[in-house]
Amino acid sequence: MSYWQVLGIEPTADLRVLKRAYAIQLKQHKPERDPEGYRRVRSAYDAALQSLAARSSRPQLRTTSVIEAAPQQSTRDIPSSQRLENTQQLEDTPVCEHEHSGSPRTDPQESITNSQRGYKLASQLKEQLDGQTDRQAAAKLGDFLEATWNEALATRQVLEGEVLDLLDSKIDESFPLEFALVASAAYDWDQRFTDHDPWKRARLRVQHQIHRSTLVQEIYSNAQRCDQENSVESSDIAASLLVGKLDREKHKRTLKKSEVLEAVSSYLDRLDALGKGFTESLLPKGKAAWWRKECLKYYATLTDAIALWVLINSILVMALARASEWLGLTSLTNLDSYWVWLFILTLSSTLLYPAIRGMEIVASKGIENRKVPEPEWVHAFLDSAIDKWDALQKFRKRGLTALISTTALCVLLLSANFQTWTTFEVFWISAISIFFFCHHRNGYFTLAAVCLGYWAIYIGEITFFHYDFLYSPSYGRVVANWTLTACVVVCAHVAYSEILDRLEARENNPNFIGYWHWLLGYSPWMLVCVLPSYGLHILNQSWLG
Amino acid sequence: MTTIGIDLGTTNSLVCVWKDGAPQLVNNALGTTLTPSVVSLDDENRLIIGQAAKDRLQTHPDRTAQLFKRSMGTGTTYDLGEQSLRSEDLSALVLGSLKADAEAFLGTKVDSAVITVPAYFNDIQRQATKIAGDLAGLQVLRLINEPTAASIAYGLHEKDAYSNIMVLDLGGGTFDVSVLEMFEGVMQIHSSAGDNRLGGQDFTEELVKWAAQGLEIKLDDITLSERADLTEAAERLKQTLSSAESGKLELGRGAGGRSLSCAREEFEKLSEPLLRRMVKPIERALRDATLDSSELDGVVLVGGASRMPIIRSLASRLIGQLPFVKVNPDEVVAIGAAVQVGLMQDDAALEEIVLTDVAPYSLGIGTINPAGGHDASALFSPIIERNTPIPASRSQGYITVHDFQTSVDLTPYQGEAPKVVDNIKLGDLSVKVPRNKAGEEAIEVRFTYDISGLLEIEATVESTGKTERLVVQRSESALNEDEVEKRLAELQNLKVHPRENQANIAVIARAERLYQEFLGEHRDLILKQITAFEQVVDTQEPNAIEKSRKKLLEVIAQLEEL
Repeated sequence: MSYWQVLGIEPTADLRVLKRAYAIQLKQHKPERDPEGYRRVRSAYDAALQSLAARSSRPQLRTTSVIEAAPQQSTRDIPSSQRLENTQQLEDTPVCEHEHSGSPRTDPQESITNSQRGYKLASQLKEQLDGQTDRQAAAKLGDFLEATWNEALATRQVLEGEVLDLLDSKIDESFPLEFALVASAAYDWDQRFTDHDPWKRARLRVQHQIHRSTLVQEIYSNAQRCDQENSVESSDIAASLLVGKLDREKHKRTLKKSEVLEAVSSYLDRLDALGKGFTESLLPKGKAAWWRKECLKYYATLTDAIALWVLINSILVMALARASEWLGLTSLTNLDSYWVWLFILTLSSTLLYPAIRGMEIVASKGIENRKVPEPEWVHAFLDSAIDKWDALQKFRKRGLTALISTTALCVLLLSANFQTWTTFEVFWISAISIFFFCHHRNGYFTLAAVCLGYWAIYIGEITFFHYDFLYSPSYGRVVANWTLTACVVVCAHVAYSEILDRLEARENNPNFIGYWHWLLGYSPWMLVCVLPSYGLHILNQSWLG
Repeated sequence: MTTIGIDLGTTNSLVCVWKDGAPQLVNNALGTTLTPSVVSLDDENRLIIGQAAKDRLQTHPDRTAQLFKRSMGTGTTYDLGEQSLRSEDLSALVLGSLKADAEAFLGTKVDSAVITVPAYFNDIQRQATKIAGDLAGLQVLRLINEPTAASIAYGLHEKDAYSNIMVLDLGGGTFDVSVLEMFEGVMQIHSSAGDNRLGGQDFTEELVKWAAQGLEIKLDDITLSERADLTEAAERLKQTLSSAESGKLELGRGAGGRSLSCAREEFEKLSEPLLRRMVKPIERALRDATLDSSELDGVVLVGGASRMPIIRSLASRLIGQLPFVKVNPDEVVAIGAAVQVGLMQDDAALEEIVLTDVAPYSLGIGTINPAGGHDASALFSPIIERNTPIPASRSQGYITVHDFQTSVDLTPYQGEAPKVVDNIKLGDLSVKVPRNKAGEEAIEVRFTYDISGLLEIEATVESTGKTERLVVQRSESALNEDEVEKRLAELQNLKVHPRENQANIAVIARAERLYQEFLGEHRDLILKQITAFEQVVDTQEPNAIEKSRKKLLEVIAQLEEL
């Protein structure tokens, strides 16, 4: 049903006909008796009014016939000199008389004076502003507006338009921020306006510019605080990273600090929201892209799932290798193949990660929300994992359980040495078991003790029993194993406790899965720990021939 | 069921009934239409309401409360002797007194009312007003905005005109602006704006400060009673300046009296900061109505304080035309309320009149600012924008922002600022959502703003289809239902002087006030007169009391002439 049908009339351009029809409908659907009916009639009426207004290209039609005589052009598009004439013309048009006799109508002569006065005041203001700095101009404007508070509204409106023009002309050069802020506060620009507001577009532009300038100012002042006062606020560090020179060391360090990354990302978001290409134009070349990439890493989603998948997969491959060895099919127990796996894993999380991420960005291009939906199963898995984690946390708190699990783990690890378990298996089993079951200080102490014990035995064998260091009963492999295990345990501990902390704060944290990435971010560290052990191991092997 | 229209003002309240197809103002026991919104407790712990209580402001400031409308809904309490009462209770007492007047006038029991509130009253203040009605035993059928009521009363005269009108309502404590359009019996409010803490009282306060400076009085050091004297004197000066070019502030009478003269120009200078504050709401109302000031066909001034010439000249200077003066600014709001009663009863005389109103402020909820993490930067997301026609029902969809969040805060706010910290928080509420990834759970929030300006919120979680009708949890300051019951019981324990005694009490209060103002022999005379009158009152002989009261009134009048 068209709005004309709701109003029960044929489409008309006559405002009086429309109003009469609305009045008739309204009396049948009074707001208090029939709210639904009223809403329908009212929206039809408003729509009809707007269509009429659109036809005469004025914000909205009124009952007075002055409007009909108005030029077919929005006031904003006319340069102010011309506008003055137009206004005069508009004011000169005879005003439709009403029966209303209680209040005398304004003398048209007086209205002209009002708008003319507005332009006069505006030119006075412009004179005062000439050659002033932004701050001075802002103060001048403030004083000026104070002084003209009791001018007629018509005058004030003209003045507002002129101030807008002034700002509009400077919108792309050095935008006078403080001046704009004063004007904005005085004219309520920071608050919403109805759609019909004739100044709306210009106001929005200025407002936009104010937002830009305030943000840029904020970033620079924060950066200054970081550089000069050594502030450790994450937002300050982030600002300094964004605007400062590219300092790889500093940047690398920052990558570990999730809150700084978050702050950087939020700055980038806010900058991006203020227009296309604005971020790039503001920051040193290539910087925005670099940070965006890093931030995307932090906001990991799909790729984290892939990394997780790789992790799980590697365990499966290991199990498969073990099984095939038992079945006598292959000799996959060749240690080197495991090491290769470890390398692949490490590399996948450090090198392949951005590549995968890049693919994802390409895939999601055009989607504003950069969080890519994940497969349902990943989602479900993570969700249930968190549930288990929650349960585990409670479980873990009982000291006895921790002790039992620690002891069990130690037994497992010790037994590993008496069997033909390989380094890699021990590595993984210990890392994963500790990761899942042994977040308890005792567990680490035990492991450290075992590790040190082995070193003691090894050194003892060499020193007191004069064994060749490569041919001792506990030989290098085992020592290497335990050193390695201890390193992994420490890494895992740090990562895990971080995860737990984050989990506790999960409600406030935007991206839980990000921590999986965070965990894998330790891979390079692991590599550092692993390589010497591996070297020792290779040495051991080759020496043994 | 009999319904009355009540203008519950900051300084004065009125009651008006719709009778025989026309609004009729009701006189109180003292024979006037204006009942001061003042409550006092006498030495026998009985309540005095109205003019008598107002006179006791000077003699018993510690047992008298006034201007309580200003703290409506804030939980502020006023101490009247040992009694501690909230604004709701005090307003209920005033409402009760007006109800009694209406009952005496109509000869029937009154059980419901239309009460006017400032357009810029927020939801909490409106709820509090409704509770005050409940406490007074009045079912509040409708709360209407004061400028709207004034417009109705005004529009009734001019129902055939096609015109745009601006109503400026400067009451004792609040300032409201409404722009409305009238055509074919339709009164359509286009926009409302205002300032909740700007009224005639502030102008008096400026004069008090000025006088304190001129008479070298330290406002912090004087007693409540002295302060009340000063305020009363300033009030009188303000009224004098409304009609004369200059006036005198007189503090105390006779030998000990001091006075300070003031020209109107000086008063204008004093009130400039207040006048400045009036410009913004006027500008905003006009802007929201998308009108130029030249398109206005009339300006109507409403509210007692609009009698001040400075207000008139400000209005004519700003808008470029002289304000319309036909209506009585004190009574017009109450009359409008009574017309609203008629409208609601579908009175034949009003068949051709329809009124449509708007929500005077934006209502919405707080949302996460994507750019900043902390709460202070939460953004206001309006659901019902200001000046939306009411009754309004709007909804908007929201999504979760955190992974696995289990509840969503839907804290409602009222105001226009882009950040919620600068707006008024209307309560606390949140809904439970299933655990899911960020952005996967959507909630539709529906705000329904009824014709009385009361808000209802409904939230639907889309994945579960569960709809929760949410009652806004009021801030601690508001009363819940149980508490209302309790307050009602407590109020019933308080004794109010019977209506027929009120004239006597008022005369005594007035005489006592004079006693305080005078010194020496005049004092003795007044005291003697008061004792004599009280003796006559004790005899309970209506004729004798009447006679004696007249005599006392004559004496008072003579003394006041001095």
